[in-house]
Amino acid sequence: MFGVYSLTGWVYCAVAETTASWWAGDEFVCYEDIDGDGRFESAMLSGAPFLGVPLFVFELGERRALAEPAPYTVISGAEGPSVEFALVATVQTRRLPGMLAEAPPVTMVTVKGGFRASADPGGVGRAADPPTTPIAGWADTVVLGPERPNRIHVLGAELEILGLGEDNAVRYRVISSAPAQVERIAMSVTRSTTYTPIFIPG
Amino acid sequence: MIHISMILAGVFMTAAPGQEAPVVAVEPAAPAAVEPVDGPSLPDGPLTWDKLPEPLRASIDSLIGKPIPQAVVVVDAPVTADVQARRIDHGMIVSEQTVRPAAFAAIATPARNARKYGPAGALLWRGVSEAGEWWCWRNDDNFPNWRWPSDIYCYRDADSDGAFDKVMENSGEGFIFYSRYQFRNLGHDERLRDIVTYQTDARPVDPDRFVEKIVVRYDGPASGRIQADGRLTDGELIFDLLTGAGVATSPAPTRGNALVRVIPGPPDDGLTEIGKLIVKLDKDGRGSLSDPRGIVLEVDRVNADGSADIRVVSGVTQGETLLFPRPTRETFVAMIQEMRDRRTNSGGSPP
Repeated sequence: MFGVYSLTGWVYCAVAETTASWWAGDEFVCYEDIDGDGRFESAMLSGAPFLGVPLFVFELGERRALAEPAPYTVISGAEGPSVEFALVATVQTRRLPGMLAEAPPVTMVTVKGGFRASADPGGVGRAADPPTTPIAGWADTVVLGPERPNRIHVLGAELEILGLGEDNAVRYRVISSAPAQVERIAMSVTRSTTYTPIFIPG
Repeated sequence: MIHISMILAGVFMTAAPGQEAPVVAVEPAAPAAVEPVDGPSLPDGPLTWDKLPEPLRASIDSLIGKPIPQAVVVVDAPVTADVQARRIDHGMIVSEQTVRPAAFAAIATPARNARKYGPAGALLWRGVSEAGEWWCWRNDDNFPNWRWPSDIYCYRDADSDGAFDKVMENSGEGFIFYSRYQFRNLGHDERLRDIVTYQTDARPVDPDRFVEKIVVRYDGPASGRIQADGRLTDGELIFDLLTGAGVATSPAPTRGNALVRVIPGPPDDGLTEIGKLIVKLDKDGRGSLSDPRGIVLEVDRVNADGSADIRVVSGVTQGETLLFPRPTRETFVAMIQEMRDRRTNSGGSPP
């Protein structure tokens, strides 16, 4: 289980395999040891992994007391659960705003950092190649061309973009990979309400 | 013809690195009003006050000089400095002080609608704004168990003739939920024509009624590089600044129904967050914070799990003070430097 800090202390969460079914995706269950005696007294059903990433707990649910307190041990972060962090490159060819009509369009390579959603948010079965959930702000772009800078920097990783191969495959060289670091990620949900008028002939 | 509206709800989810932390250590009061000018450009290299273009310095000085609307408070006692570093973890209170209003007045002749604007003898606490001094009142009978804070009425006697010339009503903007008297906004002019007179030098019957807390609480790291020995360096640490009566109010509902879903919130500790204090960690994992309110913290070490060794050097300065100070010249210079550096490095991500 991994630790999530709440205002009442650390809670430890894991994806509950028993609640998964073909129509409902994975759900977190989070445990809490309020009195610090080395045993969990309560559990919370904490919803689906946010954006399918099985380390993103969006909100802790209501507490329910366990029938019997459950002892636990704290282990190091390195021994606990993890998700894959991936850098994904995309290629785009277009005219930049303000370009002259006769100037050729530019080709840009964007590299985005994100996490592999190994949980399936749709609940329709596990994807063979889980998608990467990008994190806003963890991205960098270069414009391809002679004399142009071709270094990408994302989260301390440095890549040199060498060019495009067949089928727009990006050729690159890793100069340095992302170092061990701590980052805080804010998860937000924007709700929009759309009103659709329906006429009922009276 | 009958019109029926159908409501469709859509949900958009995003994730972004939290705490794109501002450089300032104080909740910025009006940073948006100051932009690096397009005209005379900013020099390269580290910025100091003297290197800023004159028009920019003039506009910053005019902002700094004027206080934001708020209650004028007195901090009862200073914080005892830590002799040695102590270990803190997420959510721990780092310092706690008490505050109360700096001065009181009382209504002598009330408005006709005394129930709304305050009865005769009602106690007014001192406030301040760009315009000058104010005397404020609210019906606080239900505090701290109110469902929603009651309106605050602030009176001003501009010509010092013993009768108020203006009444402002704040019915919700920038309320500090857990405070009886602290506020951040005067609201709108009520255009009250009644003559309301007052007497200064009033005192509350129960002085403890107005005692509130100002608390610094450790939040955790926002970012940082993890070194081989588990230390965090080159990052940022966040502390929360909170104020309020510090008394748990009646518990919020925990059960909803078919129409209302209640999302359980953080515990009710009777404190409202009024700002964040950011400590930048250097390449050795050390940092310090010096806040215009007087709060000075030294950070010796932060670990990857967020636990940290810190020393509190001082809390909010004892005596009469404003809890919402304007940023200083130095904080504006640091903000402008950060904005300039971000513009020139706009192709890359922050390290």
